[in-house]
Amino acid sequence: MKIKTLTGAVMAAAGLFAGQAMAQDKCGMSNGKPASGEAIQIGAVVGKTGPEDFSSGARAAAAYFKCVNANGGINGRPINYTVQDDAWNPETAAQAASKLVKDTKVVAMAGSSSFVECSANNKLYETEGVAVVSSVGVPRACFFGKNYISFNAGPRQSTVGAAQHLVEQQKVKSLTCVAPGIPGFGDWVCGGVEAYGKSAGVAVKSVIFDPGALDGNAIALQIAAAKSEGVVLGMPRGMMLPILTAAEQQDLGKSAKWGLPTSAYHADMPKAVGKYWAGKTIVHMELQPMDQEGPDNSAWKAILTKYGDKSDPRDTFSQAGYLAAKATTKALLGIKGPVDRKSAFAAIKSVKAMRSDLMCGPWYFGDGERHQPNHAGRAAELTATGFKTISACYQSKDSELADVLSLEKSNPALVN
Amino acid sequence: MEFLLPFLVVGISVGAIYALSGVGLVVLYRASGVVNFAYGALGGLAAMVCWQVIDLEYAEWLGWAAGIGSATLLSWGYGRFIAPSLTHQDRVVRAMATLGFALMIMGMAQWYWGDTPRRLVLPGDSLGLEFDGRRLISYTRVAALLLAAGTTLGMLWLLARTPLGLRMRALQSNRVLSALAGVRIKRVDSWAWLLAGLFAGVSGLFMGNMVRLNPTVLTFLVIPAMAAAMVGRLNSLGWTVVGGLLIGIIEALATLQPGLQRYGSVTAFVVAIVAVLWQQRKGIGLSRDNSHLE
Repeated sequence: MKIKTLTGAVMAAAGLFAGQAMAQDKCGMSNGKPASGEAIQIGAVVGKTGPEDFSSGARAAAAYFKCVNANGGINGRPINYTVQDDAWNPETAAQAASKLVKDTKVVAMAGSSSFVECSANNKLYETEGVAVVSSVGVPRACFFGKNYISFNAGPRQSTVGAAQHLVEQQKVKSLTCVAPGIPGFGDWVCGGVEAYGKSAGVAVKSVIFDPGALDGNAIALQIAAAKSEGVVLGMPRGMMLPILTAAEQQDLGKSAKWGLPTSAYHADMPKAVGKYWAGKTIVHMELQPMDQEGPDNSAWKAILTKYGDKSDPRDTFSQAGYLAAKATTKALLGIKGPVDRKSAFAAIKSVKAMRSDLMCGPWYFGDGERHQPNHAGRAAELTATGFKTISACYQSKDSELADVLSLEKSNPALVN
Repeated sequence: MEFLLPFLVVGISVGAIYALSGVGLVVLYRASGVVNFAYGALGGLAAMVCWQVIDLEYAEWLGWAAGIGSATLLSWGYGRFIAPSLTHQDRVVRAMATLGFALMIMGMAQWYWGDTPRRLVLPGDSLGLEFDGRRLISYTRVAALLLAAGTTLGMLWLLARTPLGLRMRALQSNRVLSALAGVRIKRVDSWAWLLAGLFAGVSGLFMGNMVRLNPTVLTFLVIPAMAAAMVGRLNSLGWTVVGGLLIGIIEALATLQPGLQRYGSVTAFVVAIVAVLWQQRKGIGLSRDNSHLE
């Protein structure tokens, strides 16, 4: 009887521990103890208000840092995460970064995502020795800063990725690239598709439009006039919708195959674009599909559910925000001695060959003059109710990656 | 020329909505002397409410009615309860008050609906007129064009032939004398605000369908509408329609010109500036026609 009771108690205790282990958050030190003491300052600059809410990455990062603070913090110290809105305005972005770097005295930036902040603030980050682990880099400057690194592949690579799939898998022989004329964005994105088209023997026409224009129909008419077999839209999803609506009204889904970058990979997108586009459109994904299993994909969803808000988007950019916060936390946890800007920069810089089920390849910071470690993705088909993954990971053939690939070849430790 | 035709047609259909919006602004300005910067925000609200009702799986007509109704009601409420307290303020103050109203609506709508991708589908979207073997213009756009023309004619009739129109014209001529003659200013103003809300609601639904279902983006519909109204010197409905169509056509044709295609949204400002300069050439300006409103 005693043995039975003891066995029962042991099993109950084991069950309890197992339950706790299962319920344990997978973030930071994962010890379930709330952090206390002097906070470590981390900041982010995002384009929240403006043409489109671009704060998804920072919202996921905020949830991750909340989780870290509830699980031992950075060796006991909590993280104070401050997110500033740049309102898509370079001047506001500069003021926001200056406030974070000079007044708040952040040790690092994590989870930023902005259309304007890289051009405005790269110099400040370099001068002040601040490492920026952003979730989503958008314009070219975000991939050409010495201290700035992103977890996404970038709109140029993603649009090239969509074009690659249309050419190599769906055999289109001509392409039209459409992008908004935002400085450092539209020409850069479609320039990538043009360069890829040249190397693949595919004719590419570019349509760069006024991002302030209200009507998508005139753009759809230009697409129709180009008479290409494939169309790629390199832009945020909010700008895609009027163009897709106008293209549907002109029945352009019948005459061309359509490719969208990762910004279209959002749970609400299939419903928003409507059934017309189901089976006619592919989306390039810079990170893993949301419905897949895997340690990081599961942890991202669980952390958002527990520490995030119900309204936080569940999209690729949110996954990137999770990864940015995770990489920063891991780097800070490895610091022996005081956590300051210098030690944080050194710790982040030393990250190499970080692997995650969310990414196709390894992620690293390194000593390069610029950083773009994510350069592979997958393709998914837009269906009536969601997305269906239709390819394995494939490398981007963006011509601009030559220096990055050469660096990886000369320094294999970065990726192995 | 055949190549230009589709762009012209598209320009005219969008211009029709600018014209309709401009007419809404002019009617209100003529009756009450208020430049309504909240026009676009009211349209944006109408589109969002309409989408919400349809998304909740109610009948489409109920969505349209709820959308247009919400803009109309809000506009009427402003005209009935807030605008009268500003009657004796300067014209600029009254205009700025509507800007505050616009920011309030836009902020609340943005907060409530956020930035999730959405689309407002109207019944005429998937069918349309064909040209050269492909669809040139959807029936939704044809409906917008017909509605703009019909509404303008309807407003001309209302102003010329109905007792309400007579009172509106009386207020336009002289508010003080009209009041002394027994015109119930608040009531006429309320009607003008109600009509402006109705126009904003209808324009908002079309723009939410054609442009982008986002309250912030739709709030800026007021810019081309205002430019169209400037062409009509905030007075002539006919010239306002011409102004709206002109802006739509130039915007569409600008997309054909590589050097201009990224600056199409400047069209409204350019048209407004040119119109004002043209009107000033012989000293004809807003001040002469509307000095009575001060």
